[in-house]
Amino acid sequence: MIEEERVYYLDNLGFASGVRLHWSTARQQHWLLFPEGALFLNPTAVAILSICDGYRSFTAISQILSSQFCDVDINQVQNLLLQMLKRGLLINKTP
Amino acid sequence: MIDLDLPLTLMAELTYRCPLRCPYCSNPTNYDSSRYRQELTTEYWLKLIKQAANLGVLQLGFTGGEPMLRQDLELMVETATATGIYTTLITAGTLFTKDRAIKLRDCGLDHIQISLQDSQVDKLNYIAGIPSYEQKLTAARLVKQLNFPLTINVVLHRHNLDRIEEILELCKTLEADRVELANTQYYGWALLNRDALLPTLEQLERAKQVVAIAQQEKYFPMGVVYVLPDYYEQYPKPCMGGWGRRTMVIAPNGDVLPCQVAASIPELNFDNVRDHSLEWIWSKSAAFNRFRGTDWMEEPCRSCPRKAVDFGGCRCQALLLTGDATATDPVCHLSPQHHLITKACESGQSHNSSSFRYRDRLNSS
Ligand code: SF4
Ligand code: SF4
Repeated sequence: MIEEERVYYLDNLGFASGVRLHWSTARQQHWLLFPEGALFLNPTAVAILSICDGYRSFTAISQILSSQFCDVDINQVQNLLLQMLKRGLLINKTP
Repeated sequence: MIDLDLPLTLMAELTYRCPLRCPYCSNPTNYDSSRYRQELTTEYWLKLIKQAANLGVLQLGFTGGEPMLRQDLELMVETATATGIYTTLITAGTLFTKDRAIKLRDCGLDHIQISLQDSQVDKLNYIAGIPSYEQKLTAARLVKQLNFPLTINVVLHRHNLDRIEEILELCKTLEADRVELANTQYYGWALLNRDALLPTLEQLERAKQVVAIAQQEKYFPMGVVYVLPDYYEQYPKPCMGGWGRRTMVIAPNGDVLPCQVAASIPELNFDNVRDHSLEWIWSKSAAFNRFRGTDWMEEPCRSCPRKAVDFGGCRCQALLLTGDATATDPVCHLSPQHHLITKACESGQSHNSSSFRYRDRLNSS
């Protein structure tokens, strides 16, 4: 009964309700804030998450990142999005 | 000296007043005494919220008692929103009217947590001490209608553990985004009711399996948190993620504590926001420094490799059970006083009482 494998789609990702980016002036850091949690974000993670607007395909996100950074590691982008999706922080928005 | 982290979380206990009477309430048993009756004014809270943001706090929980009893809650949320801090309302749900819910949303409230005592109406009302089932369900639905993320918090004990599946089903029906299943912690009111609340081992075994399925099958998009029944564990919990390491709690009277139960340790004097800034209290106050790091520890913790993992467990539990706040948490099987826990569990197993001492006025001095 328990599925081991779940299929995740990395298109049209956006923040679930109650999830948001935050710049802490006191800490001089970017954080992702959500119910009972806070994740410190490095500059790459900020760049990735801030273009997850619910409308972009994974390809579009990769293209934007490649135009901003010269050495984009697609695997790393994929992993971050997958982690966020599994935790319910990102969701697939528009179909 | 130890490296001092910035606080991550502020728990704002706006009031200890509450329409409910849960027999495991975490408020001090003398919540009704003159010590707590003088609640902080709006001006103080607004100032404190700004101070907290400047100190690096990222999460702010409005709790109590019932925080919705404060009519200035909306103003506090608005002030917090302006700083960017993440705000959570922790409510029993009975005062959550549509009108206020909409105002709270418009003020920028981020997240709402509602407590459910049980899945069945008579059982829930029995624990809450007042009829509140319908109101809680209505509140939960309203939270979802207004597009807030919803956490449902359930305190687990002998009288509801057998319905854990049904409780999770109800949370699913209510479309909870997150569920917290917290086995009762035996401080304050819960300690007074320990014999009537302690679960059986079989109940805990089953609960563990049910929770594992809920987690694997992703019943809830943001997950299920299961707070372990520490009386039955080998090691204690890393209380508060370490004393004075992440969290500050402001009591309704303005006392600042490292943990919601810390007032149970009589040797500690808590500084008050009327006398000092939050920053000063976080870094300088004696209460916050008392159990910071590991230097204060005695054996067996002092030479234990787990001391940076669990920080010797809970100070309040150590004091309440052994009489010594610096002792190893007796929940730990290495504690010389671990027999206190074993005995309590045995005594709990042999009792079948369901008569509670409800949260009520103990003495009104
Ligand atoms: S535990 Fe129950 S009585 Fe205590 S504050 Fe919460 S709802 Fe009120
Ligand atoms: S002896 Fe102390 S530090 Fe070691 S596991 Fe037990 S409580 Fe934790």
